[in-house]
Amino acid sequence: MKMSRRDFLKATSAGIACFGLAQLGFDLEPLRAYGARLKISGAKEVVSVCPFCSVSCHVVAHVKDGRLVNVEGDPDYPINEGALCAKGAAILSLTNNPHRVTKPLYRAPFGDTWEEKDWEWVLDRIARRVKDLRDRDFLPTNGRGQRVNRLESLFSLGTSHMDNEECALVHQAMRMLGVVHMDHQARI
Amino acid sequence: MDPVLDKAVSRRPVLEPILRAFWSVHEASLALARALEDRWRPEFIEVDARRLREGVPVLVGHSLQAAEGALEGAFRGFIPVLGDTFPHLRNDLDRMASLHDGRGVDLASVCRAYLEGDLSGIGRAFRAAGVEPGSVLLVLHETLSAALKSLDRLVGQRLPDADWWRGYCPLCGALPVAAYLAEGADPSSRFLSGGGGQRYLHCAVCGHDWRFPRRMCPACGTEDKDVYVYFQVEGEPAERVDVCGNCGGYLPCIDYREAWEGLPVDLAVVAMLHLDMWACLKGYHPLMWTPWNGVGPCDGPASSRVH
Repeated sequence: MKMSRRDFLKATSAGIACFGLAQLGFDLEPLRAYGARLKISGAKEVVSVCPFCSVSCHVVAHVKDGRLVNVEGDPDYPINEGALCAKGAAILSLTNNPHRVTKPLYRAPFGDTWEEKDWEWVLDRIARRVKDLRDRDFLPTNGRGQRVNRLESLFSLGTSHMDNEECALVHQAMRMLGVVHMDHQARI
Repeated sequence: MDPVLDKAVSRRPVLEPILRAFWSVHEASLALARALEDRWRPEFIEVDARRLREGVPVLVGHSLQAAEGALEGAFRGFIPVLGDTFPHLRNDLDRMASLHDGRGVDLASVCRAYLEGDLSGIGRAFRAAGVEPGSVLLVLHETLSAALKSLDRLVGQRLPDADWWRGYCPLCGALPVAAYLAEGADPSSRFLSGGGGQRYLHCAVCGHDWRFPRRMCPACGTEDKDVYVYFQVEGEPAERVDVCGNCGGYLPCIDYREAWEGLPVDLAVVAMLHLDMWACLKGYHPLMWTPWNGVGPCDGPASSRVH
């Protein structure tokens, strides 16, 4: 009968040929006591794609109990080989950031304080302001009578944490309105 | 006083006796490996790239009879070292040396059987002489390890470590005893950060290191993120143990980006024995038995696994 290493380990556990550190003369009780005091928890590594730019570096997301706890560059992906740019390296803050604003804040014209508002109020307000502005300033043609369909009095500035898809969505929405002045903090 | 050993001991004082013992074994193994380089015949030193591309390790197909000089040197060199390190095994070690001197055992054959995992046939002669099986395994492991480390010094740099991508050693075919995540090289651009984290496996026998995917079990090849997971002590991100719910194997892993810089894998892995013990209690088994990872029978119920 051939016995593999795994069989051998099973055999040792059955006490047939048990051999380990104890048989080498070591007392394992202190190690057992030490191990019993430790708090050991598990996580899994999930491969994802950095959402910030079109290079699409791969990242390894460490997930513990359903929560993202760490992110690093994927060392097995040939493009970034484990490295990330400054924005990609801070990707964890997309979800884990105590400074993240989680409710709409409104500052009235000439006001100096922010106040919390609900989404319905904020979205209605934005829609009303955009509609009024567009009705007032929309330019179907330029000075030479050429069709331009643009709105020059509205500017869109996106946050540095906007990902590729969000940028594309905002871009299309602004184009639809005729907005030509738009940017976001891609390099910050 | 050895600063490397002291660093490991200061990190985990509870393991001091074990660390000191296996550090002296490790040092002796390296010294023997240096001394045995000229015992290898040219056929072992030739690297057949075609065979390696097909996934055949260097030693497969070679009779270890032709390596008897190296094995003999390692065996004779290690018996006194092990006697000094583990004094209560001296009787066993003396019996093994006598048996070998009297040609009562074919060292090459038993080493080949050990390397191939066929543990039923090895050491029959030793056991007939009253040597404990554990002592036989200890001596065979260290003999093979020192001899093959010397071969690794000769051919290791010519092996395709970066594109081997297999769970067994390209030199001797053994499974790994530990993994490590490499430190990052200087990024090619000042706008990049991080880097490194490539996973290398460390052979349990010859000590050769080779690259392997981060999220794959070396034993069964599963890449399921919900099946191949890792565990670590809270607050100690440099050490973890990867466990596989598919085959039940575990592999300690050292993250050299976090700590342990300058500590050889063979020492760092001994300093992580508490994770071996935890994995065994949870019903996982090491991919390779070694003299230092026998922390107790892996008799934890399979139901206590996390999968």
